[in-house]
Amino acid sequence: MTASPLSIHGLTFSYPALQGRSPHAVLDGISFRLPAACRGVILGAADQGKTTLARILAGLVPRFTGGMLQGSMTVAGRDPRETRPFDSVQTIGVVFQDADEQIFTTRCDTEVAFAMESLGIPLAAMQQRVAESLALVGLSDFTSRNPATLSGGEKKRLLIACLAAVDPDLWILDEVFQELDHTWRTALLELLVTKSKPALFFDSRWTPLYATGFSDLSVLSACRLAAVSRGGAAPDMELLCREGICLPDSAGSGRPLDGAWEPLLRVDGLSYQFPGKGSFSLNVGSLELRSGEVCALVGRNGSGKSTLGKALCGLLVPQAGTISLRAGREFRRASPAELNRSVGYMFQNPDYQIFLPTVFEELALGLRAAGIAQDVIRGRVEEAQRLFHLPPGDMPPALMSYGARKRLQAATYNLLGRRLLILDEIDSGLSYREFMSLISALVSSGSGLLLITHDAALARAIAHRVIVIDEGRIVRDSPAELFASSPGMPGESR
Amino acid sequence: MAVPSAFLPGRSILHRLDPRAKLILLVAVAACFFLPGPRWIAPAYTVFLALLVGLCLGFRELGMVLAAVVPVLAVICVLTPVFRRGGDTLVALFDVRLLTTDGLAEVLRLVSRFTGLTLAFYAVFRTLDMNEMVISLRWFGLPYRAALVLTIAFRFIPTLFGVYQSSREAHLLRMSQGRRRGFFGRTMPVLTSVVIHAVRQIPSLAMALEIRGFGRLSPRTSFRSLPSGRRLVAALALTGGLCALLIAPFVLAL
Amino acid sequence: MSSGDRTQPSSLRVAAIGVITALVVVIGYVRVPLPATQGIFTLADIAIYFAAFALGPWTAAIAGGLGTGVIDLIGGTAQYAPTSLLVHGLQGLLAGLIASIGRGSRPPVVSWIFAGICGTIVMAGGYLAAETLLYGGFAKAVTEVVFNLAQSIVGALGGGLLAVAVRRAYPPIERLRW
Repeated sequence: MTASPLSIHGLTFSYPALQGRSPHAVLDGISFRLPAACRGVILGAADQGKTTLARILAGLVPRFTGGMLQGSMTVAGRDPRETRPFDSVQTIGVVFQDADEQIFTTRCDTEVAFAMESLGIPLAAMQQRVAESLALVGLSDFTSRNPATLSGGEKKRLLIACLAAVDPDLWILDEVFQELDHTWRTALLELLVTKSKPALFFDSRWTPLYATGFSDLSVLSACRLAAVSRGGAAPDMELLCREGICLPDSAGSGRPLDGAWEPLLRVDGLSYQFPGKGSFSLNVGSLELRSGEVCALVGRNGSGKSTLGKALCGLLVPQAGTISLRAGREFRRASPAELNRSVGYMFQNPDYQIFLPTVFEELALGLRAAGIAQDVIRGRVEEAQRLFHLPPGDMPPALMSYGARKRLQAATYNLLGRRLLILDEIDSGLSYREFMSLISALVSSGSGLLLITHDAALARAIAHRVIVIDEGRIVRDSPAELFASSPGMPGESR
Repeated sequence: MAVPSAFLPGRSILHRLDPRAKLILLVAVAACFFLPGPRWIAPAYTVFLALLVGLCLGFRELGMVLAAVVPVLAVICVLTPVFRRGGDTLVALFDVRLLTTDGLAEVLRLVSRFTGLTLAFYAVFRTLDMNEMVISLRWFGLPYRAALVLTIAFRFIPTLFGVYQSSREAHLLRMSQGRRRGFFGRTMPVLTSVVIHAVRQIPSLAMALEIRGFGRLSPRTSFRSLPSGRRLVAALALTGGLCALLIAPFVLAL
Repeated sequence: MSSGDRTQPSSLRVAAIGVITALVVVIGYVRVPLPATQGIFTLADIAIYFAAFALGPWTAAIAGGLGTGVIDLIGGTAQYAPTSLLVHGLQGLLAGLIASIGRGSRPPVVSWIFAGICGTIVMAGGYLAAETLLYGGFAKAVTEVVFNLAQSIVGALGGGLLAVAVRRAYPPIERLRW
């Protein structure tokens, strides 16, 4: 019987205690075995420890983070605690969840070649493997391109090429499907099957591919690992839905209740051209957004979603056209400063605005700037903490989990009372349940929401209305029930 | 806030010159502006460098460089004679010696030196890609880890520029109500967010380096390198010849 | 049971110095709204002093020198790159060494003030010497002393505030110090 490439038993891990708090437990006695030449997937909502487990298996945690690790594990024939990661280049390959954390050169070809240089592979062999690996992932024309200019999906493909070049015995892929479209997900699975490579995937969302190409499915939740499917058996979809990893079958299941929404913002003849000849231009003839309504703005990468979002909140000043806000019964043209005060924009990365030492101070900042009394601030902050399930007020936000930082970001804007909130791809890295919970909390204050996403299924499930944008123009604006998926629909990703 | 980049792509002689030769010649040219010699050498080399920049990069580029140094040259011209009053008087006002022969000579020397050095460095770094500069420095003996530090820095500069820009926007939107704060009141929170973002990346980046083999004791090979063999010999021979030409006037003047 | 290697791996140092070098460059390009100072007054010193106070003398020295050198190389003032490398490197090193005195859970304010003063003297004095000997002569050097002094003093104050803010908001930064 061929030895298992990955076997863990009774694994328990907790991060070191910080600032007088108790150690943060992440894994509690988990056991798992991946059969030879098979693919497994460990699913889990955000912050359940998937990335931590992936890095433990690669020998990176607790080496770089500290913490207490107990239990036994054999990964590609060795215990990762007994070898330095640089000695496991050909046995364990890892793709990080955040591609920007793993790219460190200024050319795609040197990025792919780096591990081979470390192994002392001769130049001719390196050149051949770099060319082959980039061709495998469709990046042959990108050899001298700076990885910083690649899209999220292209960066993930580049990292897959880096692994393909050294061809490790075991592949560990953390949320690699999130930014790949169906074509590349399938291509990756085919590559692994062709090479007979065992692989362990981690993901916070379900995709039908997991039902067909994987032998072992598990869910990581509350520090424990539960089997969803073994040996290719049908997965327990109820469990996955309970964990918020897949959307319930009924479309619109996460959608807030319909209401009588009042028009809030109008766009007329908006035009914005980026500097430079032949560069992208945004042209929106008309658009109306309403308070309490959840609209999804979907489109391919580069279609103009973020550009439109930034124009609506006054960060970009259009060269032509007007954006008007309702004032009483009328609509009045709004200046960029007025848009700044009325329309919030939640960036995909919640860390752009975090800078204070406690949750309380982050939440209170905007209220203090608006001159609200301290006792009123305290009450509103506590209410926001309850509504958004935030940690205690003295917790440093920068030390919170990613999901908690997202909720803090949402709570901050909720407290500011913006009439319209634009949420730019904030669903990434969150489970469906967490994201829907966030939306409900935001809508409860009566704000209108414009969700920028390229997850069409999510858009159908949660939005009242779906707006499709392509090449800077709105091509469709219809109720979500009428937004049926079809091949080639811009923005369809799952 | 545009991401700056000194490199200007092109096909001129300067672009095609081996990067190692460019760096050696830069040191040689810079040294010439400090060697004792006839007074005409520094201005002559400055004019030559100006022509080189104009012909290889365009006279518009030359104009931009000269326009940038004019304020500095003006300061040199006005203030240097105040500190150099030896020699014969050339300009006087109410018995005050405003300009003397020594002062004028010093002005010419400093103006030539400052302009010449500016043009020499400009000519090299405007035609030298930063990646090639790092590879060249490795050839000269820069340790691998130092080269990797530079590579990482060049990789993260555009990323952190983007983070700064986005953080500015996020803070602007969040603090759009209330009284307007001053420059440092607005900038310090943004810088704090940017610094936290940068520092958080460090452990993950270290992990990424190690899982790709950084730290192994076995010798590394190199994917990118500069031409060797006959091309290198030709480049070094050309460099040697040019250095000899540069230094010849000083030797002949002895 | 494994609690992780306590010594700092070289990969962590390389990563830290690379990222902080990039940070020096980016902060050095933040535009200060003072007329007629573009190009001679930057906030790069804030990043250097931040590194000195929060990350230690060696990160500050290398990142400070390399970062300001890169600013000169890519910003069109490449002739100053060798000087910046040396002067700001020494500034970061000296400030970091002095700031380490009395280091504990609270910022040693006296050490930091002294570090700022010494760093300012090294920076302004270094550029004064370099300008006089290498570039535009003593007259030009003297006109820039005031700007250099102001830049370093602002840098020390801003760097100290930034170090306090980041240490409070992100305590694990202490693990990156060397």
